[in-house]
Amino acid sequence: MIKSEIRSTVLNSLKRYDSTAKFHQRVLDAECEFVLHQMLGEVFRMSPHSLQRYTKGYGYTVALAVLTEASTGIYYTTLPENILVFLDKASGVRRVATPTQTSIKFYPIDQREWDLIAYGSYANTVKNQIGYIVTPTRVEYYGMTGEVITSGVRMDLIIPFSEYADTDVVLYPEHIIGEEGKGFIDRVVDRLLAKPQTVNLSDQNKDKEE
Amino acid sequence: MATPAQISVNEVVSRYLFKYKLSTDDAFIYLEHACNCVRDFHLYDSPNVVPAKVTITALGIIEMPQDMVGFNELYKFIDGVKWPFTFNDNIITTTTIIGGVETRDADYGEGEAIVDPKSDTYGGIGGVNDYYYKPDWKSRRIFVEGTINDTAVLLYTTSGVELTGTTYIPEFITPMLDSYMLWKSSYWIPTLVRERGMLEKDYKNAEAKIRNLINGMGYNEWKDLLLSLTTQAPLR
Repeated sequence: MIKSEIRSTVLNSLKRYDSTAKFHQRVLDAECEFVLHQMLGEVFRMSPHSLQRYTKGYGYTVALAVLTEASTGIYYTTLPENILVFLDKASGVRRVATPTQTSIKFYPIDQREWDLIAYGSYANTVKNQIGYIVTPTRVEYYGMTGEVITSGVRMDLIIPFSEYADTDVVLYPEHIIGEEGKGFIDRVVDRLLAKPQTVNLSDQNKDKEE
Repeated sequence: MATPAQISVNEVVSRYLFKYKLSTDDAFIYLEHACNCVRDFHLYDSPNVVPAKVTITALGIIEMPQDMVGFNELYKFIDGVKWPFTFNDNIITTTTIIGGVETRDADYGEGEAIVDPKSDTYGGIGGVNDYYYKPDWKSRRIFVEGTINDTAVLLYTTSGVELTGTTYIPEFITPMLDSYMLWKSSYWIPTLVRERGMLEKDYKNAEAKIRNLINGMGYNEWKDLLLSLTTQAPLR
Protein backbone atom coordinates (compact mmCIF):
# COMPACT_ATOMS: atom_id res chain seq x y z
CA MET A 1 0.00 0.00 0.00
CA ILE A 2 1.08 3.53 -0.58
CA LYS A 3 1.54 5.71 2.46
CA SER A 4 -1.65 7.78 2.03
CA GLU A 5 -3.68 4.56 1.67
CA ILE A 6 -2.26 3.20 4.88
CA ARG A 7 -3.15 6.40 6.66
CA SER A 8 -6.65 6.34 5.19
CA THR A 9 -7.13 2.69 6.13
CA VAL A 10 -6.11 3.42 9.70
CA LEU A 11 -8.33 6.46 9.87
CA ASN A 12 -11.35 4.59 8.57
CA SER A 13 -10.73 1.75 10.97
CA LEU A 14 -11.09 4.04 13.94
CA LYS A 15 -14.31 4.41 15.81
CA ARG A 16 -15.25 8.07 15.94
CA TYR A 17 -17.25 9.88 18.54
CA ASP A 18 -19.25 11.56 15.82
CA SER A 19 -18.92 12.45 12.15
CA THR A 20 -16.80 15.49 12.87
CA ALA A 21 -14.24 13.81 15.08
CA LYS A 22 -10.80 14.02 13.51
CA PHE A 23 -7.24 12.79 13.95
CA HIS A 24 -4.20 14.77 13.03
CA GLN A 25 -2.12 13.17 10.26
CA ARG A 26 0.98 13.51 12.37
CA VAL A 27 -0.59 11.54 15.17
CA LEU A 28 -1.49 8.75 12.77
CA ASP A 29 1.96 8.82 11.15
CA ALA A 30 3.72 8.74 14.49
CA GLU A 31 1.81 5.63 15.54
CA CYS A 32 2.43 3.99 12.15
CA GLU A 33 6.12 4.77 12.51
CA PHE A 34 6.31 3.24 15.97
CA VAL A 35 4.50 0.05 14.97
CA LEU A 36 6.49 -0.29 11.74
CA HIS A 37 9.79 -0.08 13.59
CA GLN A 38 8.53 -2.53 16.19
CA MET A 39 7.45 -5.05 13.55
CA LEU A 40 10.65 -4.71 11.54
CA GLY A 41 12.46 -5.40 14.79
CA GLU A 42 10.51 -8.64 15.02
CA VAL A 43 11.55 -9.49 11.45
CA PHE A 44 15.16 -8.79 12.41
CA ARG A 45 14.97 -11.14 15.38
CA MET A 46 13.52 -13.89 13.21
CA SER A 47 15.90 -13.43 10.26
CA PRO A 48 18.13 -10.38 9.77
CA HIS A 49 18.55 -11.23 6.08
CA SER A 50 14.80 -10.70 5.55
CA LEU A 51 15.05 -6.99 6.32
CA GLN A 52 16.29 -6.50 2.77
CA ARG A 53 12.67 -6.91 1.61
CA TYR A 54 11.67 -3.68 3.34
CA THR A 55 14.37 -1.38 2.04
CA LYS A 56 14.16 1.64 -0.19
CA GLY A 57 16.94 2.21 -2.74
CA TYR A 58 18.94 5.43 -2.99
CA GLY A 59 21.57 6.34 -5.57
CA TYR A 60 20.17 4.09 -8.29
CA THR A 61 19.52 6.87 -10.77
CA VAL A 62 22.11 9.37 -9.50
CA ALA A 63 24.89 7.87 -7.39
CA LEU A 64 25.41 9.09 -3.84
CA ALA A 65 28.67 11.01 -3.47
CA VAL A 66 31.63 9.71 -1.48
CA LEU A 67 33.18 12.67 0.31
CA THR A 68 36.34 13.18 2.36
CA GLU A 69 36.33 14.87 5.74
CA ALA A 70 39.36 17.13 5.63
CA SER A 71 40.05 17.15 9.37
CA THR A 72 40.01 13.36 9.84
CA GLY A 73 40.61 12.00 6.36
CA ILE A 74 37.53 9.80 6.72
CA TYR A 75 35.64 8.89 3.58
CA TYR A 76 31.90 9.08 4.01
CA THR A 77 28.51 9.44 2.40
CA THR A 78 25.82 11.55 4.03
CA LEU A 79 22.69 9.49 4.61
CA PRO A 80 20.06 10.65 2.12
CA GLU A 81 17.30 9.98 4.70
CA ASN A 82 17.03 9.17 8.36
CA ILE A 83 17.22 5.45 9.02
CA LEU A 84 15.75 3.04 11.51
CA VAL A 85 18.25 1.52 13.88
CA PHE A 86 18.75 -2.24 14.21
CA LEU A 87 21.08 -4.17 16.43
CA ASP A 88 23.55 -5.47 13.86
CA LYS A 89 26.39 -3.50 12.30
CA ALA A 90 24.49 -2.69 9.12
CA SER A 91 21.68 -1.10 11.17
CA GLY A 92 19.28 0.62 8.76
CA VAL A 93 21.78 0.55 5.87
CA ARG A 94 21.19 -2.98 4.69
CA ARG A 95 23.30 -2.74 1.58
CA VAL A 96 25.95 -0.53 -0.01
CA ALA A 97 27.13 -1.16 -3.56
CA THR A 98 28.82 0.55 -6.45
CA PRO A 99 26.41 2.20 -8.94
CA THR A 100 27.06 -0.52 -11.49
CA GLN A 101 27.48 -4.03 -10.19
CA THR A 102 31.21 -4.73 -9.81
CA SER A 103 33.43 -7.12 -7.89
CA ILE A 104 33.85 -4.51 -5.13
CA LYS A 105 31.99 -5.62 -2.04
CA PHE A 106 30.92 -3.57 0.97
CA TYR A 107 30.74 -5.18 4.39
CA PRO A 108 29.41 -3.59 7.59
CA ILE A 109 31.86 -3.11 10.44
CA ASP A 110 31.79 -1.01 13.59
CA GLN A 111 34.13 1.58 15.05
CA ARG A 112 35.76 -0.91 17.40
CA GLU A 113 36.66 -3.21 14.53
CA TRP A 114 37.84 -0.26 12.48
CA ASP A 115 40.27 0.68 15.25
CA LEU A 116 41.48 -2.91 15.48
CA ILE A 117 42.12 -3.52 11.81
CA ALA A 118 43.09 -0.05 10.67
CA TYR A 119 46.76 -0.95 10.63
CA GLY A 120 48.51 -4.28 10.44
CA SER A 121 45.69 -6.64 9.59
CA TYR A 122 45.04 -8.93 6.66
CA ALA A 123 42.09 -6.69 5.82
CA ASN A 124 44.67 -4.09 4.80
CA THR A 125 46.13 -6.40 2.22
CA VAL A 126 43.04 -7.43 0.30
CA LYS A 127 41.46 -5.53 -2.51
CA ASN A 128 37.87 -4.95 -3.48
CA GLN A 129 36.53 -5.16 0.06
CA ILE A 130 35.31 -1.98 1.69
CA GLY A 131 34.03 -1.78 5.23
CA TYR A 132 31.22 0.63 6.05
CA ILE A 133 30.29 2.04 9.42
CA VAL A 134 26.78 3.31 9.95
CA THR A 135 26.46 6.40 12.11
CA PRO A 136 23.27 8.42 12.74
CA THR A 137 23.98 10.89 9.95
CA ARG A 138 26.45 9.28 7.58
CA VAL A 139 28.14 6.10 6.42
CA GLU A 140 31.93 6.01 6.86
CA TYR A 141 34.21 3.78 4.83
CA TYR A 142 37.31 1.70 5.51
CA GLY A 143 39.48 0.67 2.57
CA MET A 144 37.89 3.09 0.12
CA THR A 145 39.32 3.05 -3.40
CA GLY A 146 39.78 5.84 -5.91
CA GLU A 147 37.48 4.03 -8.30
CA VAL A 148 34.56 4.14 -5.85
CA ILE A 149 35.27 7.74 -4.85
CA THR A 150 34.83 8.63 -8.50
CA SER A 151 31.78 6.50 -9.13
CA GLY A 152 29.90 7.06 -5.86
CA VAL A 153 27.68 4.44 -4.23
CA ARG A 154 24.08 3.33 -3.93
CA MET A 155 22.37 2.16 -0.78
CA ASP A 156 19.33 0.22 0.35
CA LEU A 157 17.96 1.84 3.48
CA ILE A 158 15.23 1.06 5.95
CA ILE A 159 13.65 4.39 6.65
CA PRO A 160 11.00 5.54 9.15
CA PHE A 161 7.37 5.87 8.08
CA SER A 162 7.65 9.66 8.27
CA GLU A 163 10.39 9.72 5.59
CA TYR A 164 8.17 8.18 2.92
CA ALA A 165 6.31 10.44 0.50
CA ASP A 166 2.53 10.07 0.43
CA THR A 167 2.77 8.33 -2.92
CA ASP A 168 5.53 5.89 -1.88
CA VAL A 169 4.73 2.25 -1.39
CA VAL A 170 5.43 1.38 2.24
CA LEU A 171 6.26 -2.26 2.71
CA TYR A 172 5.30 -3.49 6.14
CA PRO A 173 5.51 -7.04 7.48
CA GLU A 174 1.80 -7.80 7.43
CA HIS A 175 2.51 -11.54 7.64
CA ILE A 176 3.82 -11.15 11.16
CA ILE A 177 0.98 -11.77 13.54
CA GLY A 178 1.47 -11.08 17.22
CA GLU A 179 0.21 -13.19 20.08
CA GLU A 180 -3.19 -11.55 19.78
CA GLY A 181 -3.39 -12.28 16.07
CA LYS A 182 -2.95 -8.67 15.07
CA GLY A 183 -1.05 -7.30 12.10
CA PHE A 184 0.21 -3.84 11.22
CA ILE A 185 -3.07 -1.92 10.77
CA ASP A 186 -4.66 -3.60 13.82
CA ARG A 187 -1.73 -2.67 16.01
CA VAL A 188 -1.79 0.96 14.89
CA VAL A 189 -5.54 1.16 15.48
CA ASP A 190 -5.11 -0.43 18.90
CA ARG A 191 -2.63 2.23 19.88
CA LEU A 192 -4.97 5.00 18.71
CA LEU A 193 -8.02 3.70 20.53
CA ALA A 194 -6.92 5.23 23.78
CA LYS A 195 -5.98 8.56 22.19
CA PRO A 196 -8.46 11.46 22.47
CA GLN A 197 -10.04 12.59 19.25
CA THR A 198 -10.28 16.25 18.43
CA VAL A 199 -13.83 17.52 18.58
CA ASN A 200 -14.44 21.21 18.55
CA LEU A 201 -18.15 21.66 18.70
CA SER A 202 -18.01 25.39 18.27
CA ASP A 203 -16.61 25.30 14.73
CA GLN A 204 -17.24 21.69 13.72
CA ASN A 205 -13.49 21.10 13.52
CA LYS A 206 -13.25 23.20 10.42
CA ASP A 207 -9.73 24.36 11.08
CA LYS A 208 -8.35 20.99 12.09
CA GLU A 209 -5.96 18.99 10.03
CA GLU A 210 -7.18 15.57 9.09
CA MET B 1 35.56 -23.90 -20.39
CA ALA B 2 36.00 -25.02 -16.78
CA THR B 3 36.12 -22.76 -13.72
CA PRO B 4 39.47 -21.14 -12.79
CA ALA B 5 41.98 -23.20 -10.84
CA GLN B 6 42.77 -20.22 -8.62
CA ILE B 7 40.45 -17.86 -6.78
CA SER B 8 41.02 -14.93 -4.48
CA VAL B 9 40.75 -15.23 -0.72
CA ASN B 10 38.05 -12.51 -0.85
CA GLU B 11 36.00 -14.77 -3.02
CA VAL B 12 36.43 -17.69 -0.65
CA VAL B 13 35.08 -15.59 2.23
CA SER B 14 32.14 -14.27 0.19
CA ARG B 15 31.20 -17.75 -0.95
CA TYR B 16 31.53 -19.05 2.59
CA LEU B 17 29.09 -16.41 3.89
CA PHE B 18 26.74 -17.33 1.08
CA LYS B 19 26.98 -21.11 1.53
CA TYR B 20 26.39 -21.04 5.27
CA LYS B 21 23.70 -18.30 5.21
CA LEU B 22 25.81 -16.04 7.37
CA SER B 23 25.55 -12.33 7.93
CA THR B 24 28.06 -10.04 6.27
CA ASP B 25 28.58 -8.45 9.70
CA ASP B 26 31.55 -10.70 10.39
CA ALA B 27 33.09 -10.71 6.91
CA PHE B 28 36.33 -9.06 8.02
CA ILE B 29 36.66 -11.42 10.96
CA TYR B 30 36.31 -14.40 8.65
CA LEU B 31 38.81 -12.80 6.30
CA GLU B 32 41.44 -12.68 9.04
CA HIS B 33 40.90 -16.36 9.81
CA ALA B 34 40.92 -17.31 6.13
CA CYS B 35 44.28 -15.58 5.70
CA ASN B 36 45.63 -17.43 8.73
CA CYS B 37 44.56 -20.67 7.10
CA VAL B 38 46.25 -19.69 3.84
CA ARG B 39 49.46 -19.01 5.75
CA ASP B 40 49.22 -22.37 7.51
CA PHE B 41 48.62 -24.08 4.20
CA HIS B 42 51.81 -22.61 2.76
CA LEU B 43 53.75 -23.35 5.91
CA TYR B 44 52.61 -26.89 6.72
CA ASP B 45 50.95 -28.43 3.70
CA SER B 46 51.97 -26.90 0.41
CA PRO B 47 55.18 -28.14 -1.19
CA ASN B 48 55.41 -24.90 -3.15
CA VAL B 49 58.36 -22.83 -2.09
CA VAL B 50 59.20 -19.51 -3.60
CA PRO B 51 62.59 -18.75 -5.18
CA ALA B 52 64.18 -15.34 -4.73
CA LYS B 53 67.43 -14.04 -6.18
CA VAL B 54 69.22 -12.56 -3.21
CA THR B 55 72.36 -10.53 -2.68
CA ILE B 56 75.07 -11.46 -0.20
CA THR B 57 76.49 -8.23 1.17
CA ALA B 58 80.12 -7.41 1.92
CA LEU B 59 79.40 -8.45 5.50
CA GLY B 60 78.14 -11.86 4.37
CA ILE B 61 74.51 -11.13 5.13
CA ILE B 62 71.31 -11.83 3.21
CA GLU B 63 68.20 -9.87 4.19
CA MET B 64 65.16 -12.14 4.40
CA PRO B 65 62.23 -11.28 2.11
CA GLN B 66 59.36 -9.71 4.02
CA ASP B 67 56.94 -12.59 3.38
CA MET B 68 59.41 -15.33 4.36
CA VAL B 69 58.00 -17.57 7.10
CA GLY B 70 60.13 -20.68 6.54
CA PHE B 71 63.59 -21.50 5.18
CA ASN B 72 63.93 -24.17 2.54
CA GLU B 73 67.26 -23.94 0.75
CA LEU B 74 70.06 -21.56 -0.17
CA TYR B 75 72.29 -22.22 -3.12
CA LYS B 76 74.52 -20.63 -5.71
CA PHE B 77 75.31 -21.75 -9.21
CA ILE B 78 78.60 -23.39 -9.98
CA ASP B 79 79.26 -24.77 -13.45
CA GLY B 80 75.63 -24.67 -14.41
CA VAL B 81 74.31 -26.63 -11.48
CA LYS B 82 73.09 -25.47 -8.12
CA TRP B 83 75.41 -25.81 -5.18
CA PRO B 84 73.62 -25.76 -1.84
CA PHE B 85 74.95 -24.04 1.26
CA THR B 86 75.28 -26.11 4.43
CA PHE B 87 73.65 -25.13 7.71
CA ASN B 88 76.16 -24.32 10.43
CA ASP B 89 74.77 -23.40 13.80
CA ASN B 90 78.10 -22.02 14.99
CA ILE B 91 78.29 -19.05 12.64
CA ILE B 92 78.51 -15.80 14.58
CA THR B 93 75.39 -13.74 13.94
CA THR B 94 76.30 -10.47 15.57
CA THR B 95 77.60 -7.31 13.96
CA THR B 96 79.37 -4.26 15.32
CA ILE B 97 78.41 -0.65 14.74
CA ILE B 98 81.34 1.74 14.47
CA GLY B 99 80.60 5.40 13.82
CA GLY B 100 77.09 4.51 12.76
CA VAL B 101 78.35 2.02 10.19
CA GLU B 102 77.69 -1.68 10.53
CA THR B 103 80.84 -3.77 10.39
CA ARG B 104 82.04 -7.13 11.62
CA ASP B 105 84.53 -7.40 14.45
CA ALA B 106 87.04 -10.20 14.01
CA ASP B 107 87.83 -10.10 17.75
CA TYR B 108 84.39 -11.59 18.29
CA GLY B 109 84.67 -13.96 15.38
CA GLU B 110 82.27 -11.93 13.29
CA GLY B 111 82.74 -12.72 9.60
CA GLU B 112 85.75 -14.92 10.23
CA ALA B 113 86.28 -17.82 7.83
CA ILE B 114 85.40 -21.24 9.13
CA VAL B 115 88.30 -23.64 9.18
CA ASP B 116 86.89 -27.06 8.51
CA PRO B 117 88.42 -29.95 10.39
CA LYS B 118 89.56 -31.84 7.34
CA SER B 119 91.26 -35.18 7.31
CA ASP B 120 92.61 -36.46 4.05
CA THR B 121 94.81 -39.20 5.39
CA TYR B 122 94.08 -42.70 6.51
CA GLY B 123 90.71 -42.87 8.19
CA GLY B 124 89.48 -39.60 6.72
CA ILE B 125 85.73 -39.44 6.63
CA GLY B 126 82.97 -37.00 5.78
CA GLY B 127 82.72 -34.10 3.38
CA VAL B 128 82.89 -30.39 4.01
CA ASN B 129 81.38 -27.50 2.12
CA ASP B 130 82.86 -24.20 1.05
CA TYR B 131 79.62 -22.35 1.88
CA TYR B 132 77.69 -22.21 5.11
CA TYR B 133 74.66 -20.35 6.36
CA LYS B 134 72.73 -19.69 9.50
CA PRO B 135 69.32 -17.93 9.60
CA ASP B 136 68.81 -15.36 12.35
CA TRP B 137 65.04 -15.13 12.57
CA LYS B 138 64.96 -12.32 15.07
CA SER B 139 66.94 -9.93 12.91
CA ARG B 140 65.45 -11.55 9.80
CA ARG B 141 68.84 -12.10 8.22
CA ILE B 142 70.78 -15.06 6.92
CA PHE B 143 74.48 -15.03 7.79
CA VAL B 144 76.64 -16.62 5.17
CA GLU B 145 80.22 -17.90 5.31
CA GLY B 146 82.38 -18.69 2.33
CA THR B 147 81.45 -15.86 0.00
CA ILE B 148 80.67 -12.15 0.13
CA ASN B 149 79.53 -9.58 -2.43
CA ASP B 150 77.88 -12.39 -4.26
CA THR B 151 74.47 -13.51 -5.44
CA ALA B 152 72.56 -16.63 -4.50
CA VAL B 153 69.12 -18.14 -4.79
CA LEU B 154 66.96 -18.52 -1.71
CA LEU B 155 64.10 -20.99 -1.63
CA TYR B 156 61.66 -20.11 1.10
CA THR B 157 58.12 -20.59 2.31
CA THR B 158 55.97 -17.54 1.83
CA SER B 159 53.07 -16.40 3.99
CA GLY B 160 51.11 -16.54 0.75
CA VAL B 161 49.11 -13.42 1.53
CA GLU B 162 49.83 -10.63 -0.91
CA LEU B 163 50.43 -7.18 0.52
CA THR B 164 49.71 -5.12 -2.55
CA GLY B 165 47.83 -7.37 -4.92
CA THR B 166 45.04 -9.89 -4.80
CA THR B 167 45.81 -13.05 -2.84
CA TYR B 168 45.05 -16.08 -4.96
CA ILE B 169 44.86 -19.62 -3.69
CA PRO B 170 44.26 -22.97 -5.38
CA GLU B 171 40.50 -23.41 -5.70
CA PHE B 172 40.62 -27.00 -4.50
CA ILE B 173 41.65 -25.95 -0.98
CA THR B 174 38.38 -24.02 -0.51
CA PRO B 175 36.80 -26.81 1.59
CA MET B 176 39.75 -26.58 3.97
CA LEU B 177 39.30 -22.81 4.38
CA ASP B 178 35.56 -23.29 4.89
CA SER B 179 36.05 -25.87 7.62
CA TYR B 180 38.76 -23.71 9.22
CA MET B 181 36.42 -20.70 9.39
CA LEU B 182 33.60 -22.86 10.74
CA TRP B 183 35.89 -24.23 13.43
CA LYS B 184 37.22 -20.81 14.43
CA SER B 185 33.74 -19.28 14.49
CA SER B 186 32.89 -21.67 17.33
CA TYR B 187 34.99 -19.38 19.53
CA TRP B 188 32.46 -16.55 19.24
CA ILE B 189 29.22 -18.20 18.15
CA PRO B 190 27.75 -19.63 21.36
CA THR B 191 25.67 -22.31 19.63
CA LEU B 192 28.80 -23.80 18.09
CA VAL B 193 30.76 -24.14 21.33
CA ARG B 194 29.71 -27.74 21.86
CA GLU B 195 30.55 -28.54 18.24
CA ARG B 196 34.10 -27.24 18.46
CA GLY B 197 35.73 -30.64 18.70
CA MET B 198 33.80 -31.95 15.70
CA LEU B 199 34.54 -28.82 13.69
CA GLU B 200 38.24 -29.11 14.43
CA LYS B 201 38.11 -32.72 13.28
CA ASP B 202 36.38 -31.66 10.07
CA TYR B 203 39.19 -29.19 9.44
CA LYS B 204 41.87 -31.81 10.12
CA ASN B 205 40.15 -34.20 7.73
CA ALA B 206 39.97 -31.56 5.00
CA GLU B 207 43.61 -30.69 5.57
CA ALA B 208 44.69 -34.36 5.50
CA LYS B 209 42.82 -34.94 2.26
CA ILE B 210 44.58 -32.02 0.58
CA ARG B 211 47.95 -32.93 2.05
CA ASN B 212 47.61 -36.47 0.74
CA LEU B 213 46.74 -35.20 -2.69
CA ILE B 214 49.54 -32.70 -3.07
CA ASN B 215 52.22 -34.89 -1.50
CA GLY B 216 51.09 -38.19 -3.02
CA MET B 217 53.13 -39.57 -5.90
CA GLY B 218 51.56 -40.22 -9.27
CA TYR B 219 52.00 -43.31 -11.47
CA ASN B 220 54.90 -41.84 -13.43
CA GLU B 221 56.72 -40.82 -10.26
CA TRP B 222 56.38 -44.31 -8.80
CA LYS B 223 57.51 -45.79 -12.11
CA ASP B 224 60.56 -43.51 -12.22
CA LEU B 225 61.38 -44.41 -8.62
CA LEU B 226 61.21 -48.13 -9.27
CA LEU B 227 63.19 -47.92 -12.47
CA SER B 228 65.86 -45.81 -10.81
CA LEU B 229 66.32 -48.41 -8.08
CA THR B 230 66.41 -51.47 -10.28
CA THR B 231 68.63 -52.77 -13.03
CA GLN B 232 66.99 -53.18 -16.36
CA ALA B 233 68.04 -55.69 -18.95
CA PRO B 234 67.30 -55.39 -22.64
CA LEU B 235 64.20 -57.27 -23.66
CA ARG B 236 64.82 -59.28 -26.80
